[in-house]
Amino acid sequence: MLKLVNITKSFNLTGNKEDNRVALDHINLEINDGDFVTVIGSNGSGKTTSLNIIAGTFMPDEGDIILDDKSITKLKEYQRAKYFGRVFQDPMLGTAGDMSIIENLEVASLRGQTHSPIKWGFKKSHREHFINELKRFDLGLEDRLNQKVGVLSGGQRQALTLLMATLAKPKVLLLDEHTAALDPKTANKVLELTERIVTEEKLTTIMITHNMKDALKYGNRLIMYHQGHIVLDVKGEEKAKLTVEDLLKLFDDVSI
Amino acid sequence: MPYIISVILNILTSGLPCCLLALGIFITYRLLDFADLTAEGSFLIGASLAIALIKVGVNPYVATLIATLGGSICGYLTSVFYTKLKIPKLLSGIITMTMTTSLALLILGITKGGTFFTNNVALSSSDPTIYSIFYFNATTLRPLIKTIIMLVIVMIVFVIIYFFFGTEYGMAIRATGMNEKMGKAQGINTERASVIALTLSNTLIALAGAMYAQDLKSCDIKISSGFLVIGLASILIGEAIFGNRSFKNRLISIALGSIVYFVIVNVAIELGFPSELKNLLYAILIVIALMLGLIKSLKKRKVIKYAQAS
Ligand SMILES: Nc1ncnc2c1ncn2[C@@H]1O[C@H](COP(=O)(O)OP(=O)(O)OP(=O)(O)O)[C@@H](O)[C@H]1O
Ligand SMILES: [Mg+2]
Repeated sequence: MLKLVNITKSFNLTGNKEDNRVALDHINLEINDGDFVTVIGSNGSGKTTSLNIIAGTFMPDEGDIILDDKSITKLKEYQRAKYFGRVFQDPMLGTAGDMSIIENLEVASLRGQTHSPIKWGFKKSHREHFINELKRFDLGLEDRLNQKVGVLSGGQRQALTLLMATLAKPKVLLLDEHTAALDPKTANKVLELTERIVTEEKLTTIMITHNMKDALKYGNRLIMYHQGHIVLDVKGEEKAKLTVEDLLKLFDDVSI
Repeated sequence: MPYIISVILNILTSGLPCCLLALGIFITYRLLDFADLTAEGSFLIGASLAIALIKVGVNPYVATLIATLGGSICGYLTSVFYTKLKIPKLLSGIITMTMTTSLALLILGITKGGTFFTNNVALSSSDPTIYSIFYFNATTLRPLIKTIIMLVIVMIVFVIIYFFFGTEYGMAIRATGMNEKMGKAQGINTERASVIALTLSNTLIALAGAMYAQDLKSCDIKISSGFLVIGLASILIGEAIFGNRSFKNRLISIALGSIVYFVIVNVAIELGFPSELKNLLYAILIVIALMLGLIKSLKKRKVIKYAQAS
């Protein structure tokens, strides 16, 4: 279980008090194992900041992050990587473009473990595993292991990043508009793939999206942010009954 | 010995230490995306420590080892400036490099009992070097023996570097250098990766300096000037001609690039290019190499676009 307790984060780029921007204002959130949470909210409402705080990209000003009853607030980003798999909005950010597909996968297969300076990085036993996984992801990449990731399309790169994020099973999978940079058809493919992997691997997942339909279609729980607060949190049956119109109305209500 | 062979050996004795220099620069500039100006400093430290220690009677192999470690310290220092003191990359390197110019005066001063600052030390013909130990009495074969020893050292270093960057951690460093965000997301301590890469890079560069100076049998505090450009040009020429498809391919490109670089320089000088204007030649070479690289990458981009469109 992942718990955010009283998380507050503000940014101040100028040093003037008036320019203080509260990105998250005393957020409390509990995510149960197996939850697939979709997150919506207007631009600048604090969605990405929440994921960054969870992953440790930066520290909260106040509050605690608790994973399985242990506080991880003080751990650095790289120390928390073993718990979280991440896919970013920008397809460039999740992979090393100048390295081959297999090299990227080898690095990812050790996410959060010690990378030994003497053990050879390529492992025969991995190769077959990677090929099977790439087949499962249906990317047509299984016989292109030695090609550089830089030559892949955005959609392929995002799907590969998803594979890399889940290769070593994370406690929570963090997806930040991971299909926003893709064309609608590819975006759909990657989303279907995401759902399949999340279900098959029973991954606890937080997925930010700007697409209301996707937010309703996927997951068992939906959260809406507004100006650093969580203004909606619905689960199961209640969520299943929601429509895009309901969400739009809610958006209007909070924006007044 | 036939003239052509002596020319070839001459090119190799300049080019082989440069392979290590270029490899060191490659680790920071290409793998870490860190334009490290420490390079000329650690080259100078390597050269001055080797010559000064040999001059005071230290075994040349021990002297070379210490000289090499001197470079490690330079690299480590720069990495501490950058990771701990948060000094910008360029400035971190400049600070170390500036320090080394004074340190080299002190180091060379050891030969005068440490009470003087000296800016130039030459070994006498009876002083040993890592090469001369294997000369025996074969006077005419000396250049050949020297080249072979250099070749052996360079090959050993390249093999070690190839294996290191193929290990789990070596791969992680490469990934981090290319994409820091990915490195962190994969649980890699990116600061430590920078420290290791910078230290390793300058270790190799100091070794190059020690080898180069023992070939000259002297060290001047200006010995390293221009070598950053030479190393960069070697990398660019190598990549432009021999490619950068895989890590192994990139290493081979660097080694061959350094040799090709000295072939070009030697040919130009043989053809009458005034050697006083060497620096101009170096600059022209780097521009040509960059242009070759540019043309190549433009072509590649077209291919990728085409592949993605189809
Ligand atoms: N690194 C940062 N430096 C300064 N301000 C930041 C930083 N990250 C976020 N902010 C600010 O915090 C607020 C919340 O931003 P956040 O990125 O979390 O929004 P978001 O909900 O993800 O929006 P979007 O839908 O546009 O991605 C915004 O006002 C933003 O300007
Ligand atoms: Mg965002």
